Amino acid sequence: MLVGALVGLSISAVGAFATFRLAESYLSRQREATALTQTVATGRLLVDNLAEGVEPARAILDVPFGPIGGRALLYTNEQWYVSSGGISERVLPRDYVSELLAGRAVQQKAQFTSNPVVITGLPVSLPDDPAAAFVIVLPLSELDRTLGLIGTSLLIGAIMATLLGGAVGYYLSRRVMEPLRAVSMAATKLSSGDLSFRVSPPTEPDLALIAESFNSMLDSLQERIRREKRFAAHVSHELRSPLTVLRGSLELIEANKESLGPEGRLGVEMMAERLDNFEQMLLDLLEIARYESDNFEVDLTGVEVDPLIRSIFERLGVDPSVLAIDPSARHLATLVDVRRLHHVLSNLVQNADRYAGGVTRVVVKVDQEERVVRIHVDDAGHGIRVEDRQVILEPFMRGRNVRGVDGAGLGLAIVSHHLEAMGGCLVVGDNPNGGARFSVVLPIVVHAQDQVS
Amino acid sequence: MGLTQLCLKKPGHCVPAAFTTILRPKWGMSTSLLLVEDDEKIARVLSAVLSLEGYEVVVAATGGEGVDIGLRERFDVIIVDLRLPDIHGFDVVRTIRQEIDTPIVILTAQGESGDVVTGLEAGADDFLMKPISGKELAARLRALLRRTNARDMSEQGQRTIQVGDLVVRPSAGEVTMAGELRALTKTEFKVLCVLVEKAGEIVTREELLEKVWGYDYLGDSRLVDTQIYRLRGKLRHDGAADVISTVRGLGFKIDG
Repeated sequence: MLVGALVGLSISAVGAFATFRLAESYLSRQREATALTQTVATGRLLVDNLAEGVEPARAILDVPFGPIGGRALLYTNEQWYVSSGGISERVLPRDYVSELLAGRAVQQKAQFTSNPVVITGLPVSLPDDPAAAFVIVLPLSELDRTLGLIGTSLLIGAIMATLLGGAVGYYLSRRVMEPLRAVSMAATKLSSGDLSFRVSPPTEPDLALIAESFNSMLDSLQERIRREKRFAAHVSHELRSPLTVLRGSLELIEANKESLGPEGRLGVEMMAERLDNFEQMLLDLLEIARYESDNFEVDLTGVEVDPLIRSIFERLGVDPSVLAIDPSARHLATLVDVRRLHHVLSNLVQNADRYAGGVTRVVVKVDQEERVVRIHVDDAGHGIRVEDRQVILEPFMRGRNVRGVDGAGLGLAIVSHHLEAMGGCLVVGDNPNGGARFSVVLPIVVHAQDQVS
Repeated sequence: MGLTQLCLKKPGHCVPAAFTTILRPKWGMSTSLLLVEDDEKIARVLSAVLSLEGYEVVVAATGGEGVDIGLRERFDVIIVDLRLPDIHGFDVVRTIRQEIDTPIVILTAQGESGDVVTGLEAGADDFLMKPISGKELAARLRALLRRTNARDMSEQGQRTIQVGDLVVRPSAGEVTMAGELRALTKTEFKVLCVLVEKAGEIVTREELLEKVWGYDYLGDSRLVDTQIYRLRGKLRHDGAADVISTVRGLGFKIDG
């Protein structure tokens, strides 16, 4: 906007200046022509008077001037005659005089008593002196005043034009920008998950189209998300109910395990294992459906890092001797979604068990400089290939060396989503002993409000 | 005013008498449970599994039936499904809760996060998701039914804890505010007991989850927040400041 105003201002300034110069040169050419005409006319009158025998000193006094006044000089018989005091041939530039006396008509601008004048000289032929000359000095102050007036008007005009142009431009661009701004604001709100926002239609019909189409896009998006949510809720309900029956039935069979033969027991065991996998997959899918529809909330609570991590790993059945926790984590408090962190670590431990023979080491480091806590979960497996490290974080994508192990490839996708929801991330790499290292990076967040009130 | 324990014989935790009657095996009787569940298969299998865990289960197949039976016969605990053919599970919970203080657990296959809050606000004491194993369910119920501390209070008999205008009689399961009797649910009472036992100290949400619900760090803190909210409402007294204050980021406190 500012740049536009500046460009507008310079354009009108250049325009005004050019106009001024044009007017100036036109007016001064006009003035010179007028001066010449006047000189010729008065010169003729003077010549007539002199021819009638009027004394040159007298005749020069009778030279008429217009309302702006002027001075006249006559050179005849090697003598200068002037129309009034205060002027003499000495004010005329020397080369001007020599030019004139050489018999050429000369016109020149000069300063006379610090006023601009135009000096027009004509060679005249008098009966007694064929090489006489006649000079008229006309003031240009009138022209200067006119030019000053024009300049001032142009300057005011330019400023007015710039301001007016700026105002009109601002108004017009506002009219154009307003719906765009509203649309971009709505888009920002949209990306932060608020779909209820609508752009109010602008009065300009062309622009109303943008708002309308944006709104209808929002409508259909909202409807779609609503449908997806409903679908996820239905799927959830329809799958959870039979699973409840299956799980209960299995427990009833397990309660009477002794009455089964060896094949029967094997069947029950396999069923139990499958059911666990199935249930986990269902929960993972629902979790993904939930975060795909942006329908999730983070439940942050203030916790002390060390005891929480210890109790999570204890609950996950990880030998406490593999934990190496930075002593500074002991009294470090941060805001964490405990359920999500549990899910994350549980998944990493489960993966290590499944693919790499279990967790060999857990290193917890506090990085006060970057304000993060890093939880490295190491295993003694073959590691994750560099080209797979990003891929395995996508839903349904798995590394290449996991064939033969059950899984849908959802776990790590959910892990990284959980961490992102908490403002952290998952980094996949190698540990110093050769296996894979999954590093959970959690920001240290301390709410200003979380002081004892 | 400081914490006054009028009949403190030895340090211990307060437990309302009602719990003892529930938990003490009454002539060998098992714990009675009402299951409001319309899905016949789920109802059958859950009844069977819960019977294995020592519960005597009565099934109500509709919400209306659940309310009728639940209010007519006294159960030790009530489990309510949310999607019922006639009235919504939330309304079943709300209607029953208005009349009696029996622990109510919502057990549902539909678990939007908004449902948890609505369910707890309707008066449920816990919110569980299907599928759930019989053992897990039984463990949750046990936690809700158990006393806040294993130590029996019978020898402490008439112990009374007074904090300001608030008087708690754990053995009688009674609470009075400025001499006026206030009716609390069993869970609200347990929460209040934990708080008054530690009057003047901060009690964290985790501690409440563990002592009242038997959850470890994975318990939903909204369980606590809902109960605290309801407790505050019930203990409000003539424009006086709330008895229970929130210590941001840490927990709750009753000033001793």
